[in-house]
Amino acid sequence: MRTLTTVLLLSLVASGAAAQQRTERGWPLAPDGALKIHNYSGRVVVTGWDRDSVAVIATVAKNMRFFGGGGRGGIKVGVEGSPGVEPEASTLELRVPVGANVWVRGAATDVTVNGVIGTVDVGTVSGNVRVNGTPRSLTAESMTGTVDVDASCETLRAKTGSGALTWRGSAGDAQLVTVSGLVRVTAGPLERARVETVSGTVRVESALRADARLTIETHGGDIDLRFPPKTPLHLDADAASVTAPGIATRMRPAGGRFTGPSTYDFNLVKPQANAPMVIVRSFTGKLVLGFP
Amino acid sequence: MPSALVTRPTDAPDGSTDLRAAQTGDTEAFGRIYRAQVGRINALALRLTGDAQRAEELVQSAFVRAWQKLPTFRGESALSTWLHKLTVNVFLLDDRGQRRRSLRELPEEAAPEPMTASRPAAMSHEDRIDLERAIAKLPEGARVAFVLHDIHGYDHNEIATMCGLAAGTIRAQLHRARRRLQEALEP
Amino acid sequence: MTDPRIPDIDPRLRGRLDQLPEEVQPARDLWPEIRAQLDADRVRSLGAGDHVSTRRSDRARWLARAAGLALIIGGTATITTYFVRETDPTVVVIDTTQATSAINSFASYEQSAGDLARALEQRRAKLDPATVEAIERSLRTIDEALDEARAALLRDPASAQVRGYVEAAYRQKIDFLRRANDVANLWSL
Repeated sequence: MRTLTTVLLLSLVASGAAAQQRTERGWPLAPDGALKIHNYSGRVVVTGWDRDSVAVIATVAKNMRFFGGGGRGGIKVGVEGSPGVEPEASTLELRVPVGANVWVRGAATDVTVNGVIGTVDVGTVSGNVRVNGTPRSLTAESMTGTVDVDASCETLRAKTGSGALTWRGSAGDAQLVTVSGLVRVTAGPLERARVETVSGTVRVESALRADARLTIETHGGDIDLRFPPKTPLHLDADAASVTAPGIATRMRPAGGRFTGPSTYDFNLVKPQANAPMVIVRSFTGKLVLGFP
Repeated sequence: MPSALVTRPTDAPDGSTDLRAAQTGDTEAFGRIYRAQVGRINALALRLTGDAQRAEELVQSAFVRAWQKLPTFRGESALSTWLHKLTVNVFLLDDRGQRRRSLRELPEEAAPEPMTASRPAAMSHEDRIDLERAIAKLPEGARVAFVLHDIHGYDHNEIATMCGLAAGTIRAQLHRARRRLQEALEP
Repeated sequence: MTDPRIPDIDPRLRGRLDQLPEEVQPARDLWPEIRAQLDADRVRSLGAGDHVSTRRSDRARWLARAAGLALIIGGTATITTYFVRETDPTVVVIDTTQATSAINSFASYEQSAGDLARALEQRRAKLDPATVEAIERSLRTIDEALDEARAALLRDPASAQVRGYVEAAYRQKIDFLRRANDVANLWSL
């Protein structure tokens, strides 16, 4: 009986192993070389390391094929299936030079990038994106999944559709866009940032640089802004209602004509002093501002 | 910049040319079709809905629907007939659950006594207004059955099929409408 | 087919019915709103024929929301029109020349969005259904916002504020369609 059980267990393990194939490959890559990664379905995890080479561990479904190759200037790796065959999930784990310029595309693929200081450009359709570190510039997009950025970079472009978009870190110039996904910013100090959403809620809890300019546009999404106590601020706002310390809630008249935006100054030592500028435009959303 | 739509009474509209053009996406041509047909469609809409605001919405919905369906029109009937039927369908499909309930709402009643035939005098403008108002005031089920059968000549079985109701219900609605109108219009 | 169970209509009533007019012109010109809806549907549709955007059920509300304004595209005459509801006796007088200009100034946005939507439509069958559904869902959200903003612009064509909201909605739409096209190019099955 024990022998039979052992045989059964061994055959189960063997069949599992046959369903996924593990491949390890490596190529030299220049410190600022380019890396292109394709994986339709599954996971991609990219981590920067202190070597001039790329190392890949590919765990590939039985009906899929791993490919890779290139030169010191650029490497291309990926997983592909046969035409007409439903792609199955595969995992690519890569170690890349920290300064590499990384480009990843997936469909039903979760993508994580850690510790890369070159440019990072990630796009997926339904997967989730996570980026940690200090990429020089970062582009992160998912049509229906989430984008979670814990990074400081010179330029940031992050977009989702219905998924939530979260940013911790800082950027010289940031653009965050969703259609209906929540936008959550706890980065700072903010320098130049623009948030656009149609119906998503926007929450910002950040410090502002003295010359900061934060622009938030929504059609129906509500906006909640929290800045450190006594942050000097110019606010230029048009929204369905504006609620802030020291002012009674200003409501746009229901069904009335749109009048121009209203401007407010908060915590200024003297009028018209240079201070961060926050611009809010919302067709039907409500704005709440606080200095907790 | 598209030109404004202006009725040119001296230019006889070439219906077939406009139809072919509209079927390939020419909105200007469809606009001319609209101008030629809107009077009849609006009259139908007013009488079906009994309400000017709802009639406007129905006319708009009907022409938008007609635009979408125009490529499928093969000329088996006159365009005006096709538009007419389409308008009725748009009306009936609008909130179909509610409409079916209101169309059905009626107890079966006995057939009325036949009236003596006589030629009516010519109707004054006021009389026409009275009649239109009386039709508008009919309960929805009775009004729809009456407008489609007695004004527009739909067969009652056809009306029953379009409304998803039994022929007997349509007959009963028709009877009710006629009786109410006669009561309302008799001095 | 005549049903013998349906008696003939009373001849007096028949006579009166025969004198009803076959045509009754609407109280106001409905073509401009119909035209605007045709143009908007053409841009918006991801599907041909019957498979258009799932906004038909919203169409009547959209048209009513557009405040029943007469908007003659390209018209040069100033026409005054009234929008009166029985339950709300508000009368709004609109200068349609201004409204025309306001809407026409977004023609290039419409063109761009239309081109992108048509390009995406050509790839529709090659995308997986879940992706198509997700794209349509987001486009519906954007289109509803665009409708609201455009309706506000028709009511108040001189408002720079409202123009900004219309422009923002168009930008979102074009950006999203570009992203969807990129996805379709890359991942067509």
